[in-house]
Amino acid sequence: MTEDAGGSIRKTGGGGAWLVGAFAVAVLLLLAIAMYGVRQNERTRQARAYAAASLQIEQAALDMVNVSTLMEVHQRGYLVAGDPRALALRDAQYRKGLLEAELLRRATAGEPTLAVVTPGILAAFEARYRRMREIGELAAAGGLDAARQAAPLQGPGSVDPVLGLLEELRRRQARVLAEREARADREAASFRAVMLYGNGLALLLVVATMIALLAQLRRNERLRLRLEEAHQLEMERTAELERSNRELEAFSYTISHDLRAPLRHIDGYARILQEDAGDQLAPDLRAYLDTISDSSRRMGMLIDDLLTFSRLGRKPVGRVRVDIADLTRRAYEEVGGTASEADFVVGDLPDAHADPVLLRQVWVNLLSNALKYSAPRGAGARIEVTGERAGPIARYRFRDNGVGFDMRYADKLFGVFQRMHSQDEFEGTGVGLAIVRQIVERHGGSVQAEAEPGRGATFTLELPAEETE
Amino acid sequence: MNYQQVEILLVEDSKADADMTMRTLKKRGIANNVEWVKNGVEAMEYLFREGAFANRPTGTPKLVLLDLKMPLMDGLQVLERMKADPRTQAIPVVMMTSSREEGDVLASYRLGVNSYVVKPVDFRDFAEMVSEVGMYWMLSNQVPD
Repeated sequence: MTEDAGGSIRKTGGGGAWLVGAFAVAVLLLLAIAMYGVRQNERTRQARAYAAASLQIEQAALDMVNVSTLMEVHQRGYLVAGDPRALALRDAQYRKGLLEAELLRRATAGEPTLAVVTPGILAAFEARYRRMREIGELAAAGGLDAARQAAPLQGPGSVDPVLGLLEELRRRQARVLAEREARADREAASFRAVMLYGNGLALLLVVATMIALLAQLRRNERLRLRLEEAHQLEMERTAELERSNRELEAFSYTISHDLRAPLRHIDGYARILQEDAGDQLAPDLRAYLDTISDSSRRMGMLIDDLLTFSRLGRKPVGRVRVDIADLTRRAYEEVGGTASEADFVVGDLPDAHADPVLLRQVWVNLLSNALKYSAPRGAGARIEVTGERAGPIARYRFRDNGVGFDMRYADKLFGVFQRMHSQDEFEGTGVGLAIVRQIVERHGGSVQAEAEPGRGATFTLELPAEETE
Repeated sequence: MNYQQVEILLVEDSKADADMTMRTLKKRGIANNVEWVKNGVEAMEYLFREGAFANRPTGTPKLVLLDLKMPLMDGLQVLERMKADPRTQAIPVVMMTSSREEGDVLASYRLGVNSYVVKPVDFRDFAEMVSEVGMYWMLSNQVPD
């Protein structure tokens, strides 16, 4: 269940990155489109300004045509009628023409293909005016006929180079305008395309992101529900466990009180019989009474050990730093090690993070076993406790050179009521190592045994060395 | 004194336990006159001279040995009443029980028990314990007159 949930959470993380990426791309896309739009807007403004400028050019060119034509008309008027006022009008048109030429120059300054034409227009216009003045002066000096001969009367504009140049300017102007319009059209088209596809893509991304996000939310919701269910189930299980624990407690209370009393009575009356009538009984009958007493005592021990096993199994595991070196010395003393002949060797022992009361029980059980099973060696018995730190784990080894056991039965070693030796060889109830394993495992640790018959046994414990979580 | 002063009141529902306790106390010469009652109700009647014990001679025992689990009225209730009544609160009460339960020990001390011992299964250990308790409370311990 937990692993499954973990897997989903990991998957969720990958989806999250994808979502953020897609969303960022959409935002960048929209930004780019907006910037492109701003630039396009600027272009449009420029195009509009240029359209205005080309109107100006067009107007100026038309004015210039008019001016040039009127200049010609006034010149001719003078040559026909000899009225000097016509010359004044011609000169006025000339001045106007100069202004128009300047206007043209300015208006075309930004467009090279047009700008090259304007100086020629001004030059031609001035040349024409000079020619008219010369003819006018000729008329003033030599009479109108001489002037008429110098300047034959022809149709207006037919030979005017200014008009030709202006026409050229207007043609060029029209071409430039057409080019610009075509370019503007192209740009507008591409802008439309960018707007359409870019926005479409951004929209697509946003929609996809939304869909993914919604799916994600649904997944999260499902996950949350599943976790909630799991939690609910766990709560129920815990409640159930607490209930059965309470029942077990009542049960063990009954055992401790009600089972013990009759045993005491059996032993008691057997002893009383021994004391009061022992000398009247045959030796084998007295031995029977001893057996009755021994059996009841052993049953008492079994009950005590079972109670310990059940009590320790229910006791909450506290976690503090435990001075294992100190614990080892105390436990050894408690099991009568210091009073025995055994050689006791204690190595460097790292501290553990565990319940000191429960751990004391483990140490007492292991050390009393070591003492018990190495006792046949007498003064040659050797018990060794060593330890080491392995990262977050504290490892301890209890080695003895006692009778050991056959590794073929190692799997039975830690079971309740499992014994490797008969009651006659070694006393015991077969609960001690079960208690050891129960306590160690409740700490999240482990215990293993290695042995060889006649050579001794080694028990290896692993316990948390420091606070976890 | 024309009557034998009761030295110990033994409150015990098990005849066997009572037998063994009284035998030990007599054999070790600690107390000859032990009054045995079978439950809390009888203990109350004895202590306050009521019911079946209304006509018993006056005087209080020097020690009460109290079992915990008994029918009708258990040891804790007896203890509570004794320690709440000025007539009996000065009598030393030793809880003698099979229960090692932490809760029972705690409850007994909260109610003012003077001592709490667990009956061993082994009769020799049991006899040893009974005689130790008797020796201390009957001979060494000082009580108000």
